[in-house]
This record gives sequence, C-alpha cells and structure tokens, in this order.
Amino acid sequence: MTDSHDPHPDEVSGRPQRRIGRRRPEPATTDLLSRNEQTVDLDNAPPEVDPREDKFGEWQVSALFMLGILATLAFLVAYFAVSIRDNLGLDSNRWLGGSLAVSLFAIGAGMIVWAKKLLPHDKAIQDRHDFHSTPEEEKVAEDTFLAGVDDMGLGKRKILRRTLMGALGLFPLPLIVMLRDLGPLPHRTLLETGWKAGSRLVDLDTKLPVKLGDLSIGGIQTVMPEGFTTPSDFALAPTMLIRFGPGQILSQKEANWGVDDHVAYSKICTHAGCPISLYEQQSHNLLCPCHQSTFDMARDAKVIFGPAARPLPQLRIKVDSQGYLYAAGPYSQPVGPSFWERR
Amino acid sequence: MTTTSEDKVPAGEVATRKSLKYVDDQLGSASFLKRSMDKVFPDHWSFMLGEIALYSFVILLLTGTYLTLFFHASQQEVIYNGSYAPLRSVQMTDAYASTLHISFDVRGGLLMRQIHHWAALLFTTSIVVHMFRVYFTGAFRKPRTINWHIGTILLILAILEGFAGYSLPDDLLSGTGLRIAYSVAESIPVVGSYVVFFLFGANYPGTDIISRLFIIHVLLVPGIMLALIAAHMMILWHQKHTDFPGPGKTEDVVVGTKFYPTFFLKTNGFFFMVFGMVAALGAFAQINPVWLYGPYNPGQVSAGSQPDWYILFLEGSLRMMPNWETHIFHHTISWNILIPGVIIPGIMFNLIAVYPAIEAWATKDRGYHNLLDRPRDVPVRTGLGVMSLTFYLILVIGGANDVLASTFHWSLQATTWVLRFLLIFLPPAAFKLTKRFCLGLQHHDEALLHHGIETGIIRRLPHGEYIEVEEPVPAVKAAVLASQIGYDLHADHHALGVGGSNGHGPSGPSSNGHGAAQNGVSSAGDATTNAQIRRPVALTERARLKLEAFYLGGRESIPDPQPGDSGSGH
Repeated sequence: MTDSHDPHPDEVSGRPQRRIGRRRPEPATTDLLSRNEQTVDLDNAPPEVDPREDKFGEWQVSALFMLGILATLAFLVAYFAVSIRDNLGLDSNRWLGGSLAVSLFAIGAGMIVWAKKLLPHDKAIQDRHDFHSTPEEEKVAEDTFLAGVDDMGLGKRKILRRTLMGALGLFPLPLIVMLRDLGPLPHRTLLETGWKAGSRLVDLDTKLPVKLGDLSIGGIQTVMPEGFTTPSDFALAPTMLIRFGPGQILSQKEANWGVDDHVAYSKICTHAGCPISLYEQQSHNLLCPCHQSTFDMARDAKVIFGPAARPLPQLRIKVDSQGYLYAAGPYSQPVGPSFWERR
Repeated sequence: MTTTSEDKVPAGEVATRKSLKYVDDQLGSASFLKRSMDKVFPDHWSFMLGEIALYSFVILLLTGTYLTLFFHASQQEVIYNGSYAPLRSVQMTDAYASTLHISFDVRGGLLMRQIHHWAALLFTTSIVVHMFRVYFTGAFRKPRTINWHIGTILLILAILEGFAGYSLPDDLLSGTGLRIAYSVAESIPVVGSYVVFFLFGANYPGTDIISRLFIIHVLLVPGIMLALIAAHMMILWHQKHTDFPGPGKTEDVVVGTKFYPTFFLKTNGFFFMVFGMVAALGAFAQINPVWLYGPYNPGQVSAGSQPDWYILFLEGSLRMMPNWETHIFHHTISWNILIPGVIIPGIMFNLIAVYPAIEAWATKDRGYHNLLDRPRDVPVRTGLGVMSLTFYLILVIGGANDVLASTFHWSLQATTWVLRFLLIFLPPAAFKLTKRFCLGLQHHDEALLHHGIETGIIRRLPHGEYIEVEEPVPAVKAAVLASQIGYDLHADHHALGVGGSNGHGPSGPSSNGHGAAQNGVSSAGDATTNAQIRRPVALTERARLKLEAFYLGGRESIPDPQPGDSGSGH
C-alpha cells in the first residue's frame, strides 16, 4: 500500500484520517481552544480506580443480573402457577408483567451500571470526513453517468427514448386497474338505507316491532327496519324514534311526518357519521358525542351548534291498524355525512 | 511475548479470533468492524429520544408478531363463548372475539396486548419529541435534510400504523374512529365516495376493512418503516452524530465515547430498560380495555370517545371547525370535514417537510452544520417552532373539549368557542413571546461575556463612585458561550467593543457554520437591506429578502461598557 504515504490521503482515497483515542496533533486550530490558551484534555490516561470502588461496582452489576435471573424464573413459575381464570386474568397479568419488567429492567440497569462504573470514561475525538466528494470525484461520477446516457443514445435515438417512456408509463396501469375490484362503485348505495315503504320499525336490540304508545313522553328509542340481521348490514339505517309531549313539536312539517307526537329521525350524524345518542328531554336538543354537533329536535332537527352542516333527515312514519309504526317511504334525502355526489 | 504466555491464550479468545476470521475471510469485514467499533458518539440526554423511538419499534415488532399468532383479522359474525362472562353469547365479529380470546384465554396475551399498545404510544411520543429536539437545535440543516425528510415520512407512517392497529379489535371505540375516518375520506371532492368504496369494499362498514387494515398494519406499513428506519440509521452512522458546542468541539471533529464497548453496552442496556418500563406499564396500567367498550355496532356510540393521543389533533380540528358546506352545481363540498380532516393535516405535514428548505433559502445558509444551535440563539426558528407546537396542542386539547367541559363544569359551547379563538390568536402570541424570551436570554449571555458574573460585592472607588465587582466568566465557559451566541472571537476579547464593531453586526443561525455561509448572512442581515435596493429585483428575491430580514433582523446586541461604544447602543 504505497498510497498511504501520499501527503493527502483524504483526498485521494476519499477516506478520512482517523485518529481515535488520542489527542489531535493540532487541537489549537479552533477558536475555542486558541483563545483559552489551554487545551482540553482528551488523553485517555488510565483512570485511577479505587479497588474497593471497583469491587463494589462489580458487586452491584452482578446483583442486578442476579435479580434479572430471579425475575425470569419468577415469570416461568407465574406462567404455570397463577391461573388466568382468577380475577379476570388480572392476577396473571400482574405477575407475568411485573416479573418480566423487573427482569428486563435489571438486565438493562446492570449493563448501564457496568458501562458507567467499570468501563474507562475515555473521551475520544474523531475527524468528521467531508460530506461531499471532491469536485473531481463529482465530475467523474457525473461524466460517467452522462457517458452511459450517451452510449445508450437516449439523446439521439428518439424513437428508443419515446417507446421506452411509453412502455414504462403504461406498465403501472395494470397494477392500478387491478385495484378496481377492491370494491363496487357507489352507484346509489349511498342513498339507500334499508328503509322501504312499509318497513316496520323494530327495536335495535330486541328486534321487536314498535307499537304506538310503547314509548313514554320524552323518550327516545333506536329503531331499525324490520328484517335486519346485524346492525352492520344496514349501517345507515339506525333511526331514532322520539316521543314529544303534546304541542311540543314546533314545526308543522315535522309533526305531519310523524304520528301522534312520535317522530323518526336518522341517527347517523350528518357530519362524520357517528350515531347520535345524547338527548336532552327538556330542551329537545340532541348532541352527537363525537364532535358535539347539536340538533334542535323540535324544529326539524336544525343544527344549533357544532360542525354538522345539515339537519338530520326525517323518516316519514305511519301507524297501521294493529298500532305498529311503519315507514311511509324511504328517506327522502341521503342520510349521514355529505359526499361529492350528494345534491 | 514469550512462548509460555502464548501457550496460555484463553480458549474463548481463540474461538473469537477464529470466528471473526471466518467472517472476514468471506466478507473482508475486519476494517469495517474496526472502524465501526471505534466510531465516536457524543453524549447528551436529548440524543436518547431517537433511541427510545427505535427501541419501542423493536418492542412493537416483537409483541406484534406474538399477537398475530392469535388474532383473527375477520369480520365474520360469531357468537362469543370464551371466558369473559359478561359478553358470552353476544354476537360479534371474529376480530373482536379473538381479541377477547387473547385477553382472557391466552396466558400473557393481555400483557402482550397492553405492552404493544403502550409501546405504540411511546413510539409516536418519542418520534414527536425527537422531531422537536432536532428542530429546535437545528439538526435538520445541511447535511441532514434528507434524514429529516425520512423522519417526516416515518412520523406520518407511525400515525397511520397506530390508527390501523387500534382499529383492528373492532370494538365500539375503534369502530367509531373508523366511521369518522370513512367520512373524512368520503368528503374528498369528486373521488371521495369511490375511494371509500374501494378501501372498505362496500358501503360502510362492509366486511373487508379489518382484514385489509391487518395486512397494512402487519406487513405493508411496518415493512416500509423498517426500510426507512434502516436508512435513517445508516445515514446517521455515515454522517456521525451532531453535537452541542463545547470545549474542544468544532465543526470538523466529533467528541465523545467510542461505540465499542462503552456506548454499545449503554445503548443495549437502555433497550432493556425501555422494554422493562413498557412491560411495567403493560403489567400495572390498563390500556384499551376493549371488553368494556363492547363489540362494534353502527347504531351505538359512547360519550367521551377519544382516540389515542396522536390522532387527537385531527379529532380536535374536526370538533372546532365551523359547519361550512358548499352546494354547487348539484354537488356538495363539505368544508366542515375537508378542511380539518384533510387540508389542515396536509398543510402541517408539508410544512414539516419543507421547513429546512425554507430556512436555508431565506437565510442563504448553504453551509454544513455539525454543531447544534441552542434554541435561544435562533429566536425566529424557535418562535416558529413554539408557534406550531401551540397550534398543535390546541388542536389536541380541542379533541377533548367534551371531557374538559364535563370535568370542569364548563359550557361545552363556550369551551369550543374559546378554543377556536385560541387556535387563531395564541400561536402568533406564542411566537412573539418566545422570540422576546430568546432575545432576553441572548442579552443575558452577552452581558455575561461583556461584564462577567455579578459577584454581589459593592466596592467604593477612590473618587467616590460605587461599582459592583464583576468576575470574568471562566475562559472555557466564555469560549463556549461566545461560539453559541455567534461571536467571531478575536484574539483579545476585551478589544471587541472598541475595535471590532463588526462583532456586533447581526450574525445569523449559521454563525457556527463555514465561512461561505457566514458571508451571505452578514451582508443581508441588517434591516436596511430592503431600503437600499433601487433597481428592479425579482419578486421571489424580494420575498426572500423580506423573509431573511424576518429571520435575522431581530437580533440585538447590548453595548459594551466602553464609553466610545455606549452612545450607539439601542
């Protein structure tokens, strides 16, 4: 290796000189050191170790590792000894987690105490190499790259360049097209909720049809169209049946679309689609727990606070001869949050 | 060495040498190994923040792999029949049922779930704190801007990864979060409804989202993150760590401890301690008890539905947004979701990404920086950082406005309105205040340099004047201080006030940098630059000069005690 005798090995080989663990030959070139007129000691003189301190450190570290061993053994014992059936598994969780935590923590602490107490605290100084290459190296790399471009004739052979670009440009299309079957197109599904003319109102939980008068004044009930199997089948269908006291409904249209002070409104917030659930009997305000949009249910579910822009859609309901409530028709407008295609 | 001592080479040493030689024979790794072991790492507590992020990622991989052995990413409806009695014979998805199974029927399963969740919180937290450390100390500057960009992508991925992860159990809380995410994507003009139909495979909720989120959560995103983290670390390794100014520290050297063995032992110990800490949380601090929330049901929601903290800023911006919606040509644009859910986070993450370029462009700082700034020495950057942080924190607080209102018995509406105003007016105020605060601290540092430390001793001079005795700052400390506040140190510090009026000129955040950068800064630093320009200047250049004056104009110097200089003081 004759190269290493070059006066500037840094520039030739691109490799920095590395001076590790000893003082730089000319540390006083920097502002910091020259003005202090004192050099910062980076000599790694062997530390003066008090043998008793050393012994004590060794004892500490080994004690921590010993603790790690014991805690790991405790974990193994607890895994088989503590039943997961007791106390909803909390006992097991605490024993397993506690012993695991102690064992990991002890191992880690042991390592760090080892490093801090038993290893020499040598300060080392190391050159930072140049972050960029020399101008010559940069030029050589650029030239090589451009020469390759030239060899391929990307500049001159236009037909090659254009067909290549065309081929590469089209190549990802199949990958994108293949995503098509990820889901159906929305079509009209965002407008449909599962409510049809004649759908009877059934309770969300019991799935029993709702009779006029079942609900007490001021009460609220979540209903679904009859025939739903799981709530997820009709995610837009959840509807609130609210019973007002006589004369409390302040909107003529709202009263007309209801039956006998019973009105039905979509439960899906027009903001972000959360099911609205917090009803205040006295003020007839309905609050969405997600983003606090508030609707005045006595006035056509008008928005009185929060980020929702539109009132909740009302479901027109009627009562049949047996006293069961049913929908007079589907929702007259899309329920839930807004989207681009919504008129 | 004598032959007798050679005979006594321990067997372990022989074996080690043999195996190292085996590897080197094939890979030629010896010089790499030597260089790596000798690599010098500087020491500062704030450099551990990134380590915490790295180690929590490792913990997430370990615990997450265990969880996949038991989790069923399926939305098939099943009837629960496990150990948790309150939910027995309840209809739920397989995803939720298998989460219950992990929690109640797999020994250590609940522990792994809780460690996984706590580690995820620690991961996102440490990333954000690490990012602010890098920002406030200027570590993002050249040559580390590429690594800043990688970090930005990692932050975004970590948030997505966390959201995908906590949506998997398909409980009532996470389902509500998914519902909101669906609505946010649905609000995108033109393509929104198509995007969500392709993502969810049907109208909400469909039956595909959990299995798709699962593969995103366990393969796609972590795979990308693993690659980016590797790149992040390799660049760090290659460029060597930044360091704060200090005795013997310059732009050209790195001072610290060697990687092997001290740093190696410490950092491995730190991994175990982080793991132990998270394990303790998993053992004793309950998190995400999905069995209390119940299975997801689109018809139900509970009050006080807060997401994990790193999503809270989105929740807050959704909550604070006024209810704007536009109906145009038979189409609807829901600004009430689009702005807080898409546009604001988009702006936030883009600002993070482009900030280094903006600062370098404005200050014409093209120099290399290996020494870090103290926040006070770059008041505008620090001010902007605190401003952004304030904006972000108000969004986070806004995500809990209902909890605040019910805890403190405030009016919910008033709370929201106050937060809306604070969101607009508090960040600029925070900027002003921070900048002022930084300048004050600079004053203090300069006073220390000029006057020295106040001793509290009052002395009467022969002609009757009383003075306070000031002791000069110790030389090493003064040198560090001077380099931190950006003084060009002259051989004789006390001549500075008389001879070196240049020393008082504004010098920018690049004062630690190379000479080339400093020239650019000092020529345009003073406020009169704009007024001097008469010839037509390109609009972008004029904007740049404005920005430059904004960055560097606020620097103030206190006059030296010398009589000749005191008249020109501010």
